[in-house]
Amino acid sequence: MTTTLCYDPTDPDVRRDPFPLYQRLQDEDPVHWSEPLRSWIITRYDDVRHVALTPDMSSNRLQPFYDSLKDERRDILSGVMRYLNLWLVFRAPPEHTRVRKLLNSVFTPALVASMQGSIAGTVDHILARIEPGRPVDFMREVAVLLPAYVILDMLSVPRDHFPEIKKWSDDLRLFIGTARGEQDKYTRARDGADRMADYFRDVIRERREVPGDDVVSRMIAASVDGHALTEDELVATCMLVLFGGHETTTNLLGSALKALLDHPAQRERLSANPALIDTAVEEFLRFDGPSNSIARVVAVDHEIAGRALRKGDRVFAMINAANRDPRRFERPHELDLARSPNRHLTFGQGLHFCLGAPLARLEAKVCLSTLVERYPAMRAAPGPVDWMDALVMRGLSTLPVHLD
Amino acid sequence: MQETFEVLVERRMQGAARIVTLELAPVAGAALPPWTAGAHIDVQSHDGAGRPVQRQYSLCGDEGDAHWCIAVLDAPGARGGARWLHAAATQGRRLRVSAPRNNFRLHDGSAPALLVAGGIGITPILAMARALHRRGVHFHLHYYARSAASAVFLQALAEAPFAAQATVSLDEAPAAERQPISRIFDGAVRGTQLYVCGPFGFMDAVTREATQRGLAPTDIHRELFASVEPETVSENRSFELEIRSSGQVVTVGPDMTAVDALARAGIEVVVSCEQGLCGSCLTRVVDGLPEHRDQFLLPEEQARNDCFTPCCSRARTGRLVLDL
Repeated sequence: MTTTLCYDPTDPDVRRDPFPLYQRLQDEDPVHWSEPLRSWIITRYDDVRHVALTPDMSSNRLQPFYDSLKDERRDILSGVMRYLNLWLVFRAPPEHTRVRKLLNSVFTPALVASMQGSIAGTVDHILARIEPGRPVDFMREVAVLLPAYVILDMLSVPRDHFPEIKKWSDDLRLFIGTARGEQDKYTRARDGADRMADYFRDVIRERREVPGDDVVSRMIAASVDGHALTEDELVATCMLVLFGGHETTTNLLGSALKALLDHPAQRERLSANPALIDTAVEEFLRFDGPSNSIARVVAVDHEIAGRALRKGDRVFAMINAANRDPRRFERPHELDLARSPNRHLTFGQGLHFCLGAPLARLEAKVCLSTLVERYPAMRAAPGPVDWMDALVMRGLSTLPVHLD
Repeated sequence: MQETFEVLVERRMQGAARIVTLELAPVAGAALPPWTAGAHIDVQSHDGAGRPVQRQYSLCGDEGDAHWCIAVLDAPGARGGARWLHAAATQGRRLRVSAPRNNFRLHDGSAPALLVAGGIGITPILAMARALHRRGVHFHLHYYARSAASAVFLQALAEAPFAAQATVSLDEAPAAERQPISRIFDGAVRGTQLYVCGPFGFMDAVTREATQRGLAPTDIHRELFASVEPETVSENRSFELEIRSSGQVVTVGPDMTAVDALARAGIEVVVSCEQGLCGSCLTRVVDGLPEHRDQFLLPEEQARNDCFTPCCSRARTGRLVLDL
């Protein structure tokens, strides 16, 4: 008899290696009700894609939760909701369309492509500060810094404000990232949102007075059909760009380096043929990507694979499970840096397809190419390799390495 | 592990009017890596401006052969890689290639197969026929080409032990000697596996027929790499959109997207990324053939041609009728 299937992401074994459980869920219970999460867990590629695309699901998962609160948490969170409700990731057309079009006109592929040189400079700057011969925590000393510096530079905000901004961002994540069991997480989330909003309100005021060619100035100036972003939308979008612009890319860099260290033959292959970096980054995004799942709320009663989902039910579509679904990928558990085609779902599908995808790809290409070329003897260092306790995001919290 | 290595052009033959076949041997005794039918290799070549480019070629020999065989078509209007090979890949010359990769793998087991090739698409199909023949799996091969002069491997097919299982249809032949695509699936049993390789339009036509005749999408396999395509990105041409509900006709000029043209006519389509990545603008196509330029639709969804992404995709026919 097999043991009863139950998806519980707080189980340390599942956190370390969720893939065997994902595979069992795909085979035995592809639309799974998780009692610990009180949510549906969807694991097959085609179903995950459906969840991302269907109008039967809503991406505004915060409002129903907020509406259900009856105690003082409701008052505490009202300040957070003021901004989060304006985050594109939680909005629907026609408001989504208007704001997304404005942002598309700012974050163009040409803008991102023009940043390759400055990203390479930032990578050099970060690596130059690492003393040779000493083990480093790759997450803290490289992976956290690179995406943060890149996004701060784009916003034209001083890099030395990062420790402060990072703290607000971490506090805000307590609410969005579904970490459980934290003391006073709602108060901290509110304070983080308040401080970050105040900070960007000041930045926006400065740029209105003295515009530059940074993305804040461009967002202020952007208009589509005569409409510009409102003040609160500008603040919310700066927060989103900052939040979305560093956390996930940090996790991508960490998981990618770990995959390289765990697969020496693939690393050799990349080192012998640097042109493989394009397909390699796509494979890192697929193999153990930073978007573990996307959260949705059922908007209309409907069935998936024979299971009845009811309006208001919470759904987690497991991107990382879909990315290894043998129904869609050959040799799904094998890291193949030349894999093509590679239709992973890591950047999502549909309306909320990641605006920052070209930037994340470019940062990963520049950083990983440099590591492989510059440190032929890089290897894991002693010490714990810890995965974050998070359901929506996936990434390492520590990765000790020797960069030699 | 080495990503690319050199091979020797051991023999070169003019396989058809614009096609040379190259027999590739290992350099200095080392054996070539093994491969399976449907596999291709990357061959390093040069484009018209002399810049290095990679081109994919299917291996068309027998899985057990010690040497590899590829067929290179130099199509008019091609991007160049093939032209350089035609000029430079002479007997005794060394070429740099990748190890074989297979994205077009035959099924295991004994389910019957239909192998369908259009033009130069015969290359992986011929290797598949040899492999299936050796395995004793029932199959039939259909080869469509313009003319006897332009079709490669006609003689090899006629002399093959499975010649009786191959049907060749040439555009230049009288209609009675050509097999319509609709007849390919006559008598196909449930579970038949279809493998199709050739130009996009050809693969679309075959796939559409297969779907109509009840083949499951998972039983339809297409070779997707680009070397069988005409190697040019088509210029933007204007085309028309007909709105089914109203009968209104909107012209999409060469410099605008279908979304732009619809907006000018007062028809709003929901968009998000505006680059063909997200699929938000996906619109049903009732008639006409879209030219898919998105990276959102899965291959089998593009092949159905019943929807397209108007933010970037265009039309291969003069008019698309949209379900709007």
